[in-house]
Amino acid sequence: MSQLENKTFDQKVTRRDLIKLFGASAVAASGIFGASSQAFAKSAAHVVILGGGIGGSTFAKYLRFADADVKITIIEQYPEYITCLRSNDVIAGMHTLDELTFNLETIKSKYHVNVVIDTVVGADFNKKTVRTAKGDNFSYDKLVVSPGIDFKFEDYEGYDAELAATDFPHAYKAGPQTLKLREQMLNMRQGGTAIIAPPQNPFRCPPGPYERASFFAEYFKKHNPTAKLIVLDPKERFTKDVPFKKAWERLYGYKSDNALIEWVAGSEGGRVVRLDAATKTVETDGGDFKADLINIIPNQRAGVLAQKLGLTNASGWCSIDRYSMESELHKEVYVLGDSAIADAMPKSGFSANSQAKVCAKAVADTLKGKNLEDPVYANVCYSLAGENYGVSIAAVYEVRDGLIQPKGESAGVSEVTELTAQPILESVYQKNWQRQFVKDVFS
Amino acid sequence: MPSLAGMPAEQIIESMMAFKKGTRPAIIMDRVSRGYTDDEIKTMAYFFTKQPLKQWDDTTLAESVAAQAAGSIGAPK
Ligand SMILES: Cc1cc2nc3c(=O)[nH]c(=O)nc-3n(C[C@H](O)[C@H](O)[C@H](O)COP(=O)(O)OP(=O)(O)OC[C@H]3O[C@@H](n4cnc5c(N)ncnc54)[C@H](O)[C@@H]3O)c2cc1C
Ligand code: HEM
Repeated sequence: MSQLENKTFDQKVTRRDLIKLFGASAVAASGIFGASSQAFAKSAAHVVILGGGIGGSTFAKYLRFADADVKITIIEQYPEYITCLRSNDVIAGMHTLDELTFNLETIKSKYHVNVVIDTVVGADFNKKTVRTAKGDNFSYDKLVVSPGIDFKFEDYEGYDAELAATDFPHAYKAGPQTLKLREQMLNMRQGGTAIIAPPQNPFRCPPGPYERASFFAEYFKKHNPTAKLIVLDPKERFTKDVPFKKAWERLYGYKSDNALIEWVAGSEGGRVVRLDAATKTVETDGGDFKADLINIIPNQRAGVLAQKLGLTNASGWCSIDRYSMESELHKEVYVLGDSAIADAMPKSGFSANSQAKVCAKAVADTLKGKNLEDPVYANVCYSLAGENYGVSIAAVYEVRDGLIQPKGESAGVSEVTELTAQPILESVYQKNWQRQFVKDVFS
Repeated sequence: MPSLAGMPAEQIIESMMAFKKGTRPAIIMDRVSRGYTDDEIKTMAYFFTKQPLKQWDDTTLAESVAAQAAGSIGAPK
């Protein structure tokens, strides 16, 4: 370890360094049910999945592992899915969007899943049917809904979906907005100011805005050293704020006179309430900020489809039975991923994947007339505070007192230590984890 | 890096206990190991040890996309 300790916090690590530090290591990536597949009987139950993103695709695959005979259909609006995971890297130029683009072809062919590319427009829970934009109807025995998130533009005067699609991208669904934000960062004048405004809780990928802020600072450090990034936050704290801020100190002079990054808490006037697009100014509780680049990541609620189907409660999110992910509002309808209220579990792809596996087992067991088992969920959110500097938060979860809560002493964020190798290894593991993860979801 | 599939159960159990106690340095497994009881760890260890031995693959992102494409009928993106 001595050799690694001598280096700085801003470095690449070689494979030999890794082995020296920890010996060999591994990540668990094995199926939990054991696969099988065959043609379905006519009488087989039909499970219909709405949304073929992280939650929906994982669910289809693992339901097939759990039940060789059930008929499975995914209805997804787009032929291709761009993962948000690592999409901040695209802004920083470490990846292209193509590298993050997947489709459902493997899910279809390898796991015998019927894939329909169409937009779901409604459902009849009494007749147990769903309707698509092309006018097709599908009847189901069990319905699984994993539609992601929707944005509350109405919380910001002067901001709307149209501005987001043009000059003020939120880039919080990966796609053209991601590229637009990158272009704006590259074209910012020397010595300019950029603003990132994270949302109020709860929202998709809680470390996402802060990882993005880190990448802006890293880019400025190399290419625009007199520029500055201001994070205008409605909150007092954010996930992994201790290791994030430590990293910002170490890498970007956070809190020093020539800091590349500044963070304004809600109590200091960080909450953005209005955007003046014409003058590129945001108004906050604490006053006006003028900038060259403005990235508002809006407050969120469950995906439009979940709202339309009447699966949301007053909070804007979907309440579920913690043992199965079945909606508390409609029987035989299950809600996965970002749209679901999963208590202590953050809204992440890892969580959606873990919930999909629990739900697949619950649906398979229910169809077979078996009792449900107590579920164990897990989440690890890795983020980068720089290209070679990782921070993480992890927990294993169980249902306790009616809520999904951390199990044992598992919940925790990366410890801040003086070991330079630690954040480097976190960054290496994080990149590897993501690659294994997309395989688990889409192939 | 070794994969857990096919790893001797004792080795998995020992590693997990060491992660739990903090005697083996870890990036993630310190927290993950504390989420499981000793019995759960044993159950997982016996599960993994029975899986076919698999070499850890240090994949690139391009390879992940290719793996998905290879398993599919249609052309990938
Ligand atoms: C910048 C950023 C970085 C992130 N990084 C990470 C990370 O490193 N790790 C991590 O674990 N998570 C990460 N996430 C979070 C992760 O992307 C989400 O939590 C995850 O995608 C949630 O899965 P889901 O199934 O709920 O929704 P999604 O994956 O969004 O899937 C929803 C699907 O439903 C489809 N759909 C919606 N409405 C309809 C309709 N009416 N008809 C048909 N189809 C429909 C959509 O097209 C979409 O394919 C990140 C997010 C962002 C924004
Ligand atoms: C929740 C998801 C998991 C993630 C992200 C993960 C990640 C990791 C990582 C990064 C390492 C290297 C050591 C470190 O730095 O911490 C590792 C090693 C290990 N993990 Fe996990 N792990 C997970 C779940 C599990 C589970 C459920 C088990 C149960 C048996 C397990 C057993 C092990 C073992 C035995 C090693 C040591 C392997 C070796 O080098 O001999 N992991 N894991």
